[in-house]
Amino acid sequence: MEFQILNMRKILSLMVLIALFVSCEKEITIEVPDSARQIVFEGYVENGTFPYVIITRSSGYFDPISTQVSALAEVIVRGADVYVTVDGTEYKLDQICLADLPDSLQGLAYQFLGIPVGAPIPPNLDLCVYLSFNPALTGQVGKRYDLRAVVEGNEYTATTRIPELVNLDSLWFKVEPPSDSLGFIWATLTDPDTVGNSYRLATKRLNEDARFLAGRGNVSNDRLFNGQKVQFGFGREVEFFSTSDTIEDEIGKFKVGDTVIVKFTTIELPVYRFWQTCGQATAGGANPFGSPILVESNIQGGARGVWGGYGATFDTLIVLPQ
Amino acid sequence: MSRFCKLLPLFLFGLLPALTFAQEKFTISGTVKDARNGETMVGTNVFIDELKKGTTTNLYGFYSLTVPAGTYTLKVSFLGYATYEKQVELKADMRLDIPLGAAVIEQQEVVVTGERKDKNVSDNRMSVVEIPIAQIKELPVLAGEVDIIKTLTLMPGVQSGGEGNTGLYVRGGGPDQNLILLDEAVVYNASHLFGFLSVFNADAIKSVELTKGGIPAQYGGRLASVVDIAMKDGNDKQYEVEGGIGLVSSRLTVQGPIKKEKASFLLSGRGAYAGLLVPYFIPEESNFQGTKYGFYDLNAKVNWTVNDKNRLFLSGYFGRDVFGFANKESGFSLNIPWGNATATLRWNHIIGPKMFVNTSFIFSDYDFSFEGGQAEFDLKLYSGIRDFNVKTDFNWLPDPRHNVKFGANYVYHIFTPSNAEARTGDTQLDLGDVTRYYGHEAAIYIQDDFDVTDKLRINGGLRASMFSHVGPFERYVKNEFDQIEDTIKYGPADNVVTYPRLEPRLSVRYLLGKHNSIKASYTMNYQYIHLATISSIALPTDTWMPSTDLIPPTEGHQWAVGYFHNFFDNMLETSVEGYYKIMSNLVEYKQGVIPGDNIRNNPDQNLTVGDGTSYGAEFFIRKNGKKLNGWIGYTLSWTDRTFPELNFGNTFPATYDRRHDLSVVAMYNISKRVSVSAVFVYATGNAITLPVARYFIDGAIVNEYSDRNSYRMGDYHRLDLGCTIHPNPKKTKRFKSTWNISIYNVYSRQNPYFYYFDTDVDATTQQVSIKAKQVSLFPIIPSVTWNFKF
Repeated sequence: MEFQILNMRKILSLMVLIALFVSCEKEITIEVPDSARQIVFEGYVENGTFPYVIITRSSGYFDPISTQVSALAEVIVRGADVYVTVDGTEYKLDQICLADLPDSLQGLAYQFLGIPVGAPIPPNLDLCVYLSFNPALTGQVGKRYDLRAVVEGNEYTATTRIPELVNLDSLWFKVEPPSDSLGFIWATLTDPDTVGNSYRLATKRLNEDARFLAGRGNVSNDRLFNGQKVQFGFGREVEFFSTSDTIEDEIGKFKVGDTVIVKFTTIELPVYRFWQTCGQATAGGANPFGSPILVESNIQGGARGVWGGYGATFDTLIVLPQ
Repeated sequence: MSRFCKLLPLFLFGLLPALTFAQEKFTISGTVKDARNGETMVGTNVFIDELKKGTTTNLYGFYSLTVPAGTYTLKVSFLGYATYEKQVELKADMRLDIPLGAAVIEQQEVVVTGERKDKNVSDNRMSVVEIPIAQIKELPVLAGEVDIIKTLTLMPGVQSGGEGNTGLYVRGGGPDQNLILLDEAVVYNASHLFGFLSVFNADAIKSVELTKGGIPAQYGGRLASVVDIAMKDGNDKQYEVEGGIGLVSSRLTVQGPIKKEKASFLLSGRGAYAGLLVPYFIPEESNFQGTKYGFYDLNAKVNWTVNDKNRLFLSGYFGRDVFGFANKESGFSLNIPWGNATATLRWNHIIGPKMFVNTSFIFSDYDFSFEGGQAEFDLKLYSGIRDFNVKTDFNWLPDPRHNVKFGANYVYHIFTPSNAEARTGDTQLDLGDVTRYYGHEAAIYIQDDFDVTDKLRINGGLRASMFSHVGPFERYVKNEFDQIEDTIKYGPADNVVTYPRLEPRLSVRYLLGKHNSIKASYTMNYQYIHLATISSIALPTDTWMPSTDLIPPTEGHQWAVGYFHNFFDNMLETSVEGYYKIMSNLVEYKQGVIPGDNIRNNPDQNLTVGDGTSYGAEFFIRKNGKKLNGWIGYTLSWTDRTFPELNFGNTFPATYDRRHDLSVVAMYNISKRVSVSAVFVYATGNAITLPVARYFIDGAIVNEYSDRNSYRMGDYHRLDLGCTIHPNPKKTKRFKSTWNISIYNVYSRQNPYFYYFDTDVDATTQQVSIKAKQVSLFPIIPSVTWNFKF
């Protein structure tokens, strides 16, 4: 009997060892149909500034992605007719392409589109946006703006509103140990008593960032703190096409010496839902343990994307050594 | 004329006794038990030769036959046991308890079907799957572990969810649509180890029966199937110890008499070695320390025969899983304890020779907790369900043509669907009060198994059931922007909504000949509680929810028809069954919801309802013999879902829409010492949703997904081999031991468990490419188990 048990122990340990050596992961190919190409709208109307819309096309999931600016040029849609209606009158937006601009303005335009200072720009790059400097279209708090666009024969519509402004109560910087110069910015906010207040936050470092960067995680909704005073912290979003953000430790953090402009905007619920689901869809690829996220677009007609109204307030914070 | 007159009185005298006797009927009844250990015998055939009439014992071993007075030979038989014969003179109602002794046979444990040989043909129940426990023990399913639920998936019409999933998918129904009963107590989550093994320890189980269609009126509350598992009662003659030591877990069962032939007990335990199985499913590159896993199951039972008319049983099950996971590098930790607990008190009472009643008091509880943390942030999600249940079931056998059952059932449910607590730094986030739902579920039923003619038997039944959602409850009435318009407060026991329902059931069996029959059935049933699943992989995050004013009960209709034919004196059983099911008010989570967010939100507002259709054909061949036993089951089926709020309202394949499902099982007794087994399974891959496109938003990439479930994972197939060795088969010593060697997944196929996407950056071209990767769980796993019994 003892002899049998001893033998069994030997066999058991040998078997466990064998089983542990096998690997269980391999690469597979998936066939994706070509038909998954959609029109995508990214439209903004913010208080005090002109509305603009960028129209792009989606590409296949397994097509290689270039992090170079030419990738954006390949998907930009041109030749569309875009209209915005406010106070009952419809106005047509102008299509402005980089090639049309005088050299002096091109630099500004690049920055506007998110191409940072100093990034390599391929020749014949032709990016286009739709906008209008018509004063009647300058964003005003409380107004409703309707979008209508005809792209390649199909019509798409959307509607949004610039909600009432809400200011942050305070802003301060706090270092994140073990560093003594890098950290996050913290803010306090008093949420108005109404249900459904939603916010989006963006930052821009003076002389470093060409434009305001909001990323996709910086949206919030007052479901958890309606009418209350709440405190939260946030990091720094990185520009997708950036070539200068190279120091790994500094990515995502603010540094002593930065002058940061914080843009805190109010948004309406459908716009919040878009940015929230967008954030979930970009975080972490296809998580097998979750259900696939369908981004909730507020565009009607079968397109993706968002047409959003933003009520912006600005604060400046100089990050001082602590 | 005068001769006639003389003959007439004689003739009349001759008739008189016959007339008198023809009106006088008496009943012979009693209990059939295993002579060796006192276990009641279910489904034993009790037959009167002279009248060619018989019956079978019910779930508690009770039989009853009402026949004209006379002298008869009573024959009681059950395969594997010696046929019991007794001459009885029936002059009055008679009580006869029958002990059945084991058949004297040359080889070790006889592994054959334990029923009447032609039962699959003659029984009017169709769509019933029975696998004897002895056979289940010969087929280890994973790393040498024996599993009742997993073995059921080797039958046609019953599919497993794949690796890492013990859910049962019966004829296109979801894993929550199976009524899993352990000694009449409902088991809510019958899985261990993330679904690799079920909670049932085969050493403590007497019988298991799965009904996948033609569900009789005595069962209700779940749409797709009933898995009725009976624990052993406990040897009431002598002590018995059995157990085993295996690669994953070890078991020990002790049973014996408390008072010989009056009362007995059974105590059974099983425990898994913490952490031993963990390396099998964590990729090599990770550095996960602090990971632990373990589970245990405890089954206990006590029974007491008060007198010859009354018997009491008290049984219970308690099991717990604990899973802990930590990744020190990212500061991420996870702890998931979960488990079931059930307790049943049953009282068998023989009212008279024709009537038997069983009354049960049942408690059932399932709870799970998910505690995770990352740096400063902690989240705890917990949910559970608790039942208090009372039921009574009568069995009345007025004469051999009728077997009538009727009874009532009442359950009080307390649901705790996902509740969450979260903490960030020092701030406790307000995620709402603990939400509970309270419900009453009740039913009464009546059914009759009626032998209309010798060839035609009908089982007709009606079940009247109802569900009530009661307070305390606070309903947030919302508008289309998800904003609260109104709050309705219900006090304790206030009625929120009540759903009364009628469920007709019918099944018919027509004997075409001695060895073949045709059967048909119609089942209409309702399910009042639903399981909402977040992902396609079974996780403890799946929560039980009741029907509410927003979520009506799930309704199901099933039509089934089948042809059954046995050959070679019942050595070969074959059958073909087709079914068609429609289901409405199925429940799924809405897209993008976060369960546990109860701030001004009722959990049922995270759910959406839809319909489903399922149809298919099942082919089955089984061979019973002395040397070779086994079966081949093949199912061809379709199952789809249509939800207005999912997939833009378009019909999509259900996740477990398996076009083909094949199981081949063979067990061969080479000699008295050695027997071998082989199992081969093949199934079409699960349906999944994959990302198909991407686009830019604000300088970042957003993923776009395909139509729901429009892709298929790779096919699943594997071969297992096993070998059982009895070192000393002829030894008459009390201590017996066997060795079982098994190899799981012999050709080490990498069956897909899930897909994920890896991004690869090429520094020179600044190009990012996405590669699809498949993760598999179990490669070839050999194992050894040592079993003993004395």
